[in-house]
Amino acid sequence: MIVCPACGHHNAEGRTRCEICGASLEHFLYRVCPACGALNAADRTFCLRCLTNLLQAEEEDIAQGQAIAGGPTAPPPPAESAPPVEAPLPPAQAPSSSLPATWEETLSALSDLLPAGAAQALAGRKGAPPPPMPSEEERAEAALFQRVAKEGTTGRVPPISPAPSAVPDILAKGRVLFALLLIAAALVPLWFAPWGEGRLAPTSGARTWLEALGPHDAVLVVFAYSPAYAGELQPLAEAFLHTLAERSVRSIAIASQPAGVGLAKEAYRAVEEAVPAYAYGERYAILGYLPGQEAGLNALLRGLEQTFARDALLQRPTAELPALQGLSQVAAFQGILILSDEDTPVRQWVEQVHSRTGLPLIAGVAARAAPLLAPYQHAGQLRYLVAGPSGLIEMTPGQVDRRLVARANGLVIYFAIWCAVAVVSNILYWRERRREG
Amino acid sequence: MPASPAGPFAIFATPGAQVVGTWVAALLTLAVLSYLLGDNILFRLAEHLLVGVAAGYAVAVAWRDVLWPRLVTLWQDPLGHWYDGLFFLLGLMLLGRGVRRLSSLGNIPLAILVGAGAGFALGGAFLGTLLPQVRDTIAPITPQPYGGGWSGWARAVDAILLILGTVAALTFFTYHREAQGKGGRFSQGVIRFWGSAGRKVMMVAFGALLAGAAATFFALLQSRLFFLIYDWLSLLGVRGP
Repeated sequence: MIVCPACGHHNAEGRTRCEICGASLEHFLYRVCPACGALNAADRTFCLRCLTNLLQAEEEDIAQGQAIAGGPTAPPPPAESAPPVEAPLPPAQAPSSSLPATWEETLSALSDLLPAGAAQALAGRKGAPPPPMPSEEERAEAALFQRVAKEGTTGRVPPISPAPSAVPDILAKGRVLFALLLIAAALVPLWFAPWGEGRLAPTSGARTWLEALGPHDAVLVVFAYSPAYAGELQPLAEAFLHTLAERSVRSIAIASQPAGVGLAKEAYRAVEEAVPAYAYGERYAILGYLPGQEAGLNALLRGLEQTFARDALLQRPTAELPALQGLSQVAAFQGILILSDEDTPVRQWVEQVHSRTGLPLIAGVAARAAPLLAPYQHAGQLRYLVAGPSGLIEMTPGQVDRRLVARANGLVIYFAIWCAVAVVSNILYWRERRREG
Repeated sequence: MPASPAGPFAIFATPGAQVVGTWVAALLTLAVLSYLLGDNILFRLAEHLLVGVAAGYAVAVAWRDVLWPRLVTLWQDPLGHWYDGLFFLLGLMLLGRGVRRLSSLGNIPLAILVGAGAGFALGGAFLGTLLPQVRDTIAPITPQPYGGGWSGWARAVDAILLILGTVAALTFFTYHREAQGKGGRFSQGVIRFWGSAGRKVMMVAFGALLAGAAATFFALLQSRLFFLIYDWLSLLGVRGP
């Protein structure tokens, strides 16, 4: 069964477009779990809800179904032996010879006609009570169903053309144009920058706070973003770390998702190239991946050495690393810098760590997370919130290159395009509605 | 500490590794951008590579950073780290979910995971979000506490908007019975008015979220285009602006 994502129609398996609305069904094939009934994507091996092995269960169910249908005592399926019926008749008028002789014959015929899947799996589940003997009326209904189902399989359903879209042609065809406009918005500022860096750089105060730190201070850096967002956050991470490295502030990095370890290595590699004196083990260390979300943060609060016995790069005991001297507890840090592509990790640090230690939290986040974290900054739970290209410009004064300014300028052009497209599409839509009366 | 300036990253700094890495990244970027022309096998290949590599890397990191160090400590000092053995046992029971006959074994670790997670999350949400946010909403609405002047007035107006917006958004989720009598109809009218205002407040909030998401995705597009222009084309001898 493929449920159409657009109109909800249940399409037969194997279809690539919806029979009713014509929408694409390529990614909407579901596999029904025989154990819990959950709808899973077709390419899933284990059920999302109960982790049942779907492939194995499906194979077992099909094998059981075949064993029942093709067993030594089972009669040949009536779909092959019964003569073709010209027209469907009501059950009362159906000739008795076309009816299956036994209820097992009826069921086995039905099992051939029904699609393999959830229905067979549920019927063939181990431990299920035997079905009651059907009455004469039920047998007649089953035979009628069998005939109707057979007709449905041989008949051809004329393709239904999708309903004409209400969207004007210019908008339906304008997707490629819009994409090209976005690419132009990204590239044009490299050659033409109407707004300078000064106008685009707010002052959140994060840089001032970091510049006040010295060699005796230490900051815990949390990498909580995925590689998919590295394009936005990796330059920001490098800018933060560069500021710390210039002042020789010790930084200890951990990752709240597995890929964060690799991103931390990459960011520190760039910083080491720019500030060679900022050496691994001496001034900074990468401790590794911290699993467990809220529970993991609570474990971290018990002590760094209990949570991370060894560092992630050299696999040395953390107690032996000079960068970690005097930093056995989270409360020993001067602040926590969280680099995240969404609001949830930052919120977890606010809730689990800041509420207990009172440590200043600085969040360097993707622009999409900034509105959700603004209330925490307003309440003082987040000391500083740095986001987007403007945040990057703030963290890199004096090093702003053409690319950085182009990022901020491109964003302005991008939103101008969005506004223009919104206005034009609304005008066109309004005109279309007016023409239709 | 004997770490060299290049440190443990020396292998990544070799020119050959950087050239290969840039070429692979550029080709994969072009494969992803080819989706602009429609769904195609290159895009699918890049997509599956991303998922596969991410999953493989996650397993490797989890083994190296989480499982292996605890296995070593458990092996070296079983009595001192008996609790690690208990956690490994729970983890093995969780694997039972993959086998139908043993799937009930996984209920115990799942119950612990869900229960402990919910407990920590609820406690943190109450102390770290609910109370501080309620406290922050109770703010002075006169300019004097903020130092007076234009700045004080601006912050006072901000506080008023904050309070009105919060009350309106909460009112939107108020459910009530059919109004009876004049008092009932009046209160229903008030709730309807504030609920309608709350709906608009939430629309503005959702708009801000959409704009933030759009900004993020545009920044990612810029990042990849700049990479192609500056890093990849420079390998081909073309200099960017």
